[in-house]
Amino acid sequence: MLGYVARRLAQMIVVLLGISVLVFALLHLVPGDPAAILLGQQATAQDIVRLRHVMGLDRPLWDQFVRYVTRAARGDLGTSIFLGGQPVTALIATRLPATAELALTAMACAVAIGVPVGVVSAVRQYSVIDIVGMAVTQVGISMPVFWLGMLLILVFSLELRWLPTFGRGAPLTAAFAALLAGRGAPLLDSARHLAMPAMTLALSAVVLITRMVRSAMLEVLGQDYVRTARSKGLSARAVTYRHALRNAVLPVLTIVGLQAGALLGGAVVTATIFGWPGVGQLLINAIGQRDFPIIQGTALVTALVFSGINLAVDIAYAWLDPRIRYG
Amino acid sequence: MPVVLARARRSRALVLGAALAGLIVLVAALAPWLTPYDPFQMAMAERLQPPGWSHPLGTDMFGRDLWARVALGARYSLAVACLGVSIASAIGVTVGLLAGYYGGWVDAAISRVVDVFLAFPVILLALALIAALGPSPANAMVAIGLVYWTTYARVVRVLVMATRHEEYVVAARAVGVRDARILIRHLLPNVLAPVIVLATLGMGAAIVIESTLSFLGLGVQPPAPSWGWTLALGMRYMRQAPHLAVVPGVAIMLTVLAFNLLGDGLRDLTDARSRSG
Repeated sequence: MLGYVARRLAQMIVVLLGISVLVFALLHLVPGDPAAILLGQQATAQDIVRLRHVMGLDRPLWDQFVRYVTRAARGDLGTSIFLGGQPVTALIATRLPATAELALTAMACAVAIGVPVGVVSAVRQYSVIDIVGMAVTQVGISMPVFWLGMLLILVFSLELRWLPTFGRGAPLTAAFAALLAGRGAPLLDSARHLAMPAMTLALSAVVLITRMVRSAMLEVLGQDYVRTARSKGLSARAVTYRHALRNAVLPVLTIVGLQAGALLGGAVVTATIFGWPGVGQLLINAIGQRDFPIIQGTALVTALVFSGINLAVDIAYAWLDPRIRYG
Repeated sequence: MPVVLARARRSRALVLGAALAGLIVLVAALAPWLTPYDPFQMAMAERLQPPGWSHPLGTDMFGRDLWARVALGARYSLAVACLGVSIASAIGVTVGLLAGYYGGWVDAAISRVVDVFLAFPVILLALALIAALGPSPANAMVAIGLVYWTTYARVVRVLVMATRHEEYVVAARAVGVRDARILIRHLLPNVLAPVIVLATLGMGAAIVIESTLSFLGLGVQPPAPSWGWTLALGMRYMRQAPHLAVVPGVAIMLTVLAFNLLGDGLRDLTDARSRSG
């Protein structure tokens, strides 16, 4: 097991270096002089020279890269060009909890919906529930995230007036602390703000988890050991939940890892629809202003988080399934 | 061939997907002739009209006919997605062929580059690339190509690795056929069927990326009638004109659904062929 972890960590270091090269290259993909483009048409030659110096663009390319990597390794992702020179690391750090809260809630919803629906679809294959479930997943996977968000706003905010359209309530941790102190209102407020963004974000994960659990369950239900369990006289419930489901949910781990990327990416789009004050909103505003330190910092942090989650999932999978670490 | 056609006709997903995709392509091709309205002509007196006899899908905030704009929008979405998928498959197939055929350090280096691209969430990488290159339909195509090439590279690499030691490849090498010719004449035809399936499924994903970029104002630029941007405008008028927030979304969903069904059907068809043959 240790050998497997060491091998995956070594691969991860190479990937991290590659990620930093790609993120560094973003600024240099800008056609023409990035400093001139960032400052716009009214900029004087002096302004451009000054910004080139501030951004380090007047140094050799290799020197810029080494400086970028060494600073990033120390947690310094530069300063924003347009947000009054604020440190990018601090800007991301203040917004990361909101993004994590949204992504984790979405994933929890996706697992809570996807696993039972997948199990029922498999156990009752070709029943009305199965056919309707699969049709819904086919339609669900074809819906863009932002459109689902708009439809939810249309129904639950504008028509039914149940949920707020915009913003975030109290942070969930604070809301739970208030609940422990005997006040339930903050948690209710948080949940009402979270409901639509989380469901919007959860859609693609729900679809994939449902399909994956269904096909894994169908495969497991046809295995010899399940037949043996049935022939021993175990109830259908015991066979399904104690024997089949335990093996069928393992692939869900992979989906959780892969969907972490979709959730982090989807959170960017969801931020614009629901005004969720996370990293996504920071990135979208930065793209509008072409604030490259923020764009680069956000891309770097997101890629690191995504890679970290996938590494953790791979290790967990190898721990749960010995065939992988010895394979 | 007749067996394949008979099996294709029996596949409901394939028939439904092909019919729907064919219809959407037809609408895109014939867009200007399907409505008497000019999709760019503003008529403020008729703004935000709900669907009715004179405007079957209603009008937008500038009084432009929504059906005319959605029909023409299909052209933009399909063109950007199709060219984006072409770029992705061209890069991915080339890289996958090289990695699979040469193996060794070439494969190791290419695989690490693939890992780096896969470390970024798709939409985030597309957004970052557009931020650097600037918002335009051409750059949206490039972004789609650069985001999705890894899928093709990984599949082609594995397929080539499985066939590079086949007798016909070894024989070709033994008689002195050059590597480039082996790759193009002998190995490429073997990977084309799975690549076509991937590209069909990829069309759906590319249309979602294109519409997301346009929704954020980073893809097809107004006044061109993109589905994503029409939805973004519709968001501002959801209370007065909910049809603006629904119609372009349905167009996107049906198009993605069509290509997903078509891709699933083609995959089942090619799997069945490989099993039987």
